[in-house]
Amino acid sequence: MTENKIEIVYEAIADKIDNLGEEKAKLFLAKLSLLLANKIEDTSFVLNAIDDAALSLNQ
Amino acid sequence: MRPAGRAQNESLYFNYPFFSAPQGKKRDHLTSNTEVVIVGAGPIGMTAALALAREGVKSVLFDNKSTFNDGSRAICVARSSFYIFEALGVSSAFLEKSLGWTTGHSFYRGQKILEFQMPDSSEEKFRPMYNIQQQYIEKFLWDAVSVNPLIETRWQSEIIGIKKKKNECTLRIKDPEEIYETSSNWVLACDGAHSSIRKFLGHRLKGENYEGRYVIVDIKMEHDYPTIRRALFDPDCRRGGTVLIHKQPDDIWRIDYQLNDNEKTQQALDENNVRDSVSAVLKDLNYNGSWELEWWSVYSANTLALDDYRDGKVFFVGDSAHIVPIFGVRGLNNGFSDAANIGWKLGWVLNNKAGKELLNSYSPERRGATIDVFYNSSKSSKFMTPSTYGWKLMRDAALSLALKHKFAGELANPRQFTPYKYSESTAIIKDTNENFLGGPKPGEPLPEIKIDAGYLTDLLGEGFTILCFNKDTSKKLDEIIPDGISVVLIDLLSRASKLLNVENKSAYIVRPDGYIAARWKNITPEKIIKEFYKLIFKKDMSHDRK
Repeated sequence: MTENKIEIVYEAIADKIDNLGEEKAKLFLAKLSLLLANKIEDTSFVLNAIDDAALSLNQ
Repeated sequence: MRPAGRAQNESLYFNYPFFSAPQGKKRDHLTSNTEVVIVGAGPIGMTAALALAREGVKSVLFDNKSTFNDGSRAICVARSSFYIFEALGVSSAFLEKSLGWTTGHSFYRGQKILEFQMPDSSEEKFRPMYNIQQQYIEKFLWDAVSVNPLIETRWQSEIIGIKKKKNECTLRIKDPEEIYETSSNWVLACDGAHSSIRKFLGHRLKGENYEGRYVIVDIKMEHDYPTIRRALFDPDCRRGGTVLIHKQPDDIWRIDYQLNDNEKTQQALDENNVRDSVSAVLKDLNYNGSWELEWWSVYSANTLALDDYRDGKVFFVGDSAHIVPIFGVRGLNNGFSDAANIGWKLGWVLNNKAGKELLNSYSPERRGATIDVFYNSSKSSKFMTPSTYGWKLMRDAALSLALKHKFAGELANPRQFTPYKYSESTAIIKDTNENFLGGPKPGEPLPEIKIDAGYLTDLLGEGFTILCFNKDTSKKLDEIIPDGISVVLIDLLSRASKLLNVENKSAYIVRPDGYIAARWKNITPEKIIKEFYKLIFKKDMSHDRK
């Protein structure tokens, strides 16, 4: 994905979270993850991404 | 603000001059009419005065202060501004003193997540950015203004009223000796963010206030780090905030730190709090040496502009017309472009070399540039100082991912390095079925490339320049061109010709400000001249011939 595309997605998600409100953000992001993961054939890729996303969160 | 015990203009590295109000004989003509009055002898007012003087137009500069701006304020001068300095004959002082840079480093919680390079190469005459204190900017411009016979400066002279009449403006001025009135055919309001001309004429800046407030501090220290812009996101010294660090000449360092919502502005500006905050930043930088406090201030990231930069015979130039957030370093730089833009246009109109309609292009061109900055910097601001839950969450996610994934770090790239294009302006001629497969379009600045012993822009004349690519065209043009145009013949086999995507009978017209006004793949010399008259809004070409 090019820089510009990721920027569009980044902004769309940020705005959607603000529309839904803080309370529903977690559920929304979890649903979004599943929707996107469902499109990816390579399960190991998704599992790696799950580990990557968790990195540096325990500091 | 300065540390306790130091006067407002008592700097660690800069000697402020003192300017008195007009005295003695200089008061004899105070009330005479002037062609152009410029309100504000800051960097923008002085640039406008020099730009007008370059066209041979006289101006009178008014400023209510007795010296330059206190403190450094704007410090980043962009490549585009160096072209303006060069045209005004002042670039060498700037090049000697300032620190050029191309690189930025962004850190998240102490770890580097992004190294960005601004566009630069050996084909470029100037670096993309230079750091220099605003006092020096004003001093170098003043060195040229003060010796220019076409510019009169009246210090300690405040405009306390302005009345618009049909063909002129009446200004009321207060100086230490008296209050007097003078009239002027044209007024350039270069009197900054709190413009009094703007208030007197009842105009208001419109736009948004962003939540982010920053304290900006200059300190003196011998710190061993190259001229690289550092951005610290969520650092130990300021959890949840952002810190920016810039090197300036004379061992002066600029530190900008974001205030959190609970910090009251007034308290944050207290000297002890500033010292504590700076110490904490320096600790994060692993700097253990000594340092001295020079100056500090506060700003918030606003995007505000006038709907129209012109009100009859008054033009708003620089901060009086627009306030932009600093992340794009476009406040002062866009001000320089405003001043250069109105300078040549008003000069050409007053010299009767161009029609008055040319002046109508000032506001759309320059307001367009501001709106472009708003668009980019609102993106930047939303990243640097996210004010909503969603944007903060996504920003934190991007920064956290950036420790391992490059793509996420790129989201922190300020990316505001390309000059605005005047593609829709009335002061250019758009491409019409010209089949250019590349090259710069009308409304874009002429790109730089090395040619012969110098650079392409070195070939430009003082007024408009026609670039052509064969001897016959060049010869014919020399016979028929009106005053104020230079003809430059460029070798069709040169790299410059390739960059411009030209053929034997192609031509480019470049404006006095270095922007491309028009271009044709295949055109006759006679047609070029005909088109040129459209550009300058002149119908009758007979008495403008050489």
